[in-house]
Amino acid sequence: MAPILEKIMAGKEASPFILVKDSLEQSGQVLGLELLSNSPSDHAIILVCAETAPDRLLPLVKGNQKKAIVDCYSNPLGWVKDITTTSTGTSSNRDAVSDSTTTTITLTLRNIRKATKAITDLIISQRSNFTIYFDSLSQFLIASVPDTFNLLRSITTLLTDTSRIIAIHHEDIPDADSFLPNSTSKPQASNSLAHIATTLITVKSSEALRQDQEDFRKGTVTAKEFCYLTVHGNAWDSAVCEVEHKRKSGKVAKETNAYHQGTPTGKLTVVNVWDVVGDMPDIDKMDLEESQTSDPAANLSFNLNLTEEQRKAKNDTVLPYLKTQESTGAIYYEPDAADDFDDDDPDDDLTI
Amino acid sequence: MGYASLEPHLPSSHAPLLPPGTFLSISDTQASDGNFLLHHFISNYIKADQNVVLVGLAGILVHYTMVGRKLGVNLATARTKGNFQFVDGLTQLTDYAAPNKEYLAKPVETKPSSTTTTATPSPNTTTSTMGARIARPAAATATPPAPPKVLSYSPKLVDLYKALEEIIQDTASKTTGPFQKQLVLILDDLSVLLNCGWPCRDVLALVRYLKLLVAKVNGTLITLVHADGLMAEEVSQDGLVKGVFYEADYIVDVRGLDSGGSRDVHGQLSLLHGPGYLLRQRAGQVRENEWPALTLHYKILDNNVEVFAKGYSSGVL
Repeated sequence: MAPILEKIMAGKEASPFILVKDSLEQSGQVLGLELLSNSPSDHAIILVCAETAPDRLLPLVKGNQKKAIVDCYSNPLGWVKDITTTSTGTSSNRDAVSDSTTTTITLTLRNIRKATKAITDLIISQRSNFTIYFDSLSQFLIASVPDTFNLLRSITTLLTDTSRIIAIHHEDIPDADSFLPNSTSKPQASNSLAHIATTLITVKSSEALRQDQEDFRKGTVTAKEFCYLTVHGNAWDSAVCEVEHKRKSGKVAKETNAYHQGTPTGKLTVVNVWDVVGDMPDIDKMDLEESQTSDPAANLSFNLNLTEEQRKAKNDTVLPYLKTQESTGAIYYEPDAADDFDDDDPDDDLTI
Repeated sequence: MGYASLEPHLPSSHAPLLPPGTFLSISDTQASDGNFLLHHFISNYIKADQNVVLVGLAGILVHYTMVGRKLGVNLATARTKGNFQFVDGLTQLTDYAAPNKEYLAKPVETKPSSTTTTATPSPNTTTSTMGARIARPAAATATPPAPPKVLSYSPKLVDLYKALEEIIQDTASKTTGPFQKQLVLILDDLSVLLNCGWPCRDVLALVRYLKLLVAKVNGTLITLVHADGLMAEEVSQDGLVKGVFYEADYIVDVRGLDSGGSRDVHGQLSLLHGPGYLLRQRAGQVRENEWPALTLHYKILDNNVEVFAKGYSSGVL
């Protein structure tokens, strides 16, 4: 049975909204771009760049589909008046992009509602099935949480049978609500996004899982000093993906897979997570060992065993009240010398 | 050379400078100040006769000059030559300085038609077309370098950006010709902006805009941000550090040792791979072993910083 991640990447499992949740420690951008590159050839691809420069993102999207760029990167707060999509100093290899022409619109993230209108207009103008890719929903969420959800809802209403949304969400970046006091009473944007997504892929670093396993094996937890990012962060060769996929039938498939790359720029292959992280200690075997407890009287410095005579004597002792254990429940009363035994019923004079 | 032992670990394509169009983010803690790294870059760029724009939000010019002297650079000469620009972002950044304005460097009224500056016979004052509030020196040209430009208070961070934009474009325009000089813009440090009250989102936007601006003029951006564990509970501090890490191409994290203080090792320095680096790697823009992720130890000496592999401190060997 192929791993679910592989089926999703190949397009065998339909999913209108794929959400890739990542963190500083392991970016989900590489996986997201791979998912995007596997879009059907009749799709129009819309790249909403909020965190990466468009000229850096565009060459990484392989495929000959028609592409459109929504540039929210170059002028996020509208501080610059006349803006054209800027290059980040590295040569933008426009020649590498195949003969598809790319429309670019530049937006600010000051007003997400205006941005929503612009994006939906762009989608409608494409007049075809589309895949829209958000390289970071977090930049939208930091502006306004409800407006971002409205943006996603507006796009969902335009989805056709095969069209889909692929979005990267950084779960460690605070959203607009977190900056306000009493933010704990509001629903977490992360959780709400997970609700509306049909596929949720949480990307974690393989090293983190390896260390968890080591701890489990040793039975201890290694103390970790605080840091925002470790030296093992963002390894290019592999990452672990926890996939939760909701099918149209209502069934949910939950699996932990991993992906592996041979070279930094090479192809992504989906593998079993144990191939990347190493074998997990067999939990069932460990439980069985514990339940088959060995003789507790084995390794003591004193002798707890009984000799034959002692055993016979033990079996022959008559325990007090043994007779009462076998009786029906009737009360046997044997008055002492001091007791005043009276056969009359003390309740006789009651007139109830 | 800045610190010789640090040099081999930095990207080598444009050594001793950083590759243009990139953003290096330095994070430090209270226990381990990351300032020493800034001096390394200042020293390297000036010795290579390239441009440095240093925005001192947490330090004054005297401090950088004195440390520079220990590293063998004369910042005053560099300023006269035009290689080094210091922007005072400390004395008048907030309006708390207003009552004491008469003791500070005079920022002349900067209405577009500023009569006071045009009155003095100064052939080289570039007229500012924008309403950005920058202090202009009353006496221009001449051998003594003009007093540093001062960033004055504005409730909106966009004004600060505009002021810096003007300075950078000014500096870059002076070096036209066949060899465009490389520029480095150093912000020391970003946490000050947060502490002065500007919202985290605006400070992150400032970083984005500066990164784009500096890339257009063949430059590199270096910022310093405080990333203590204790501060991580505060949403804006935490958000700033994470936001900067997501924006950066190269991340250097300076932290105290896990085991506490030591005489021979003052702390650890980690070269880290952020999400930006992973993407560049995927695009094939990164040479192999250009920036390996590793942790080094360092020791600060009087006029040098020794950087060495873990366990190789000279006190141990």
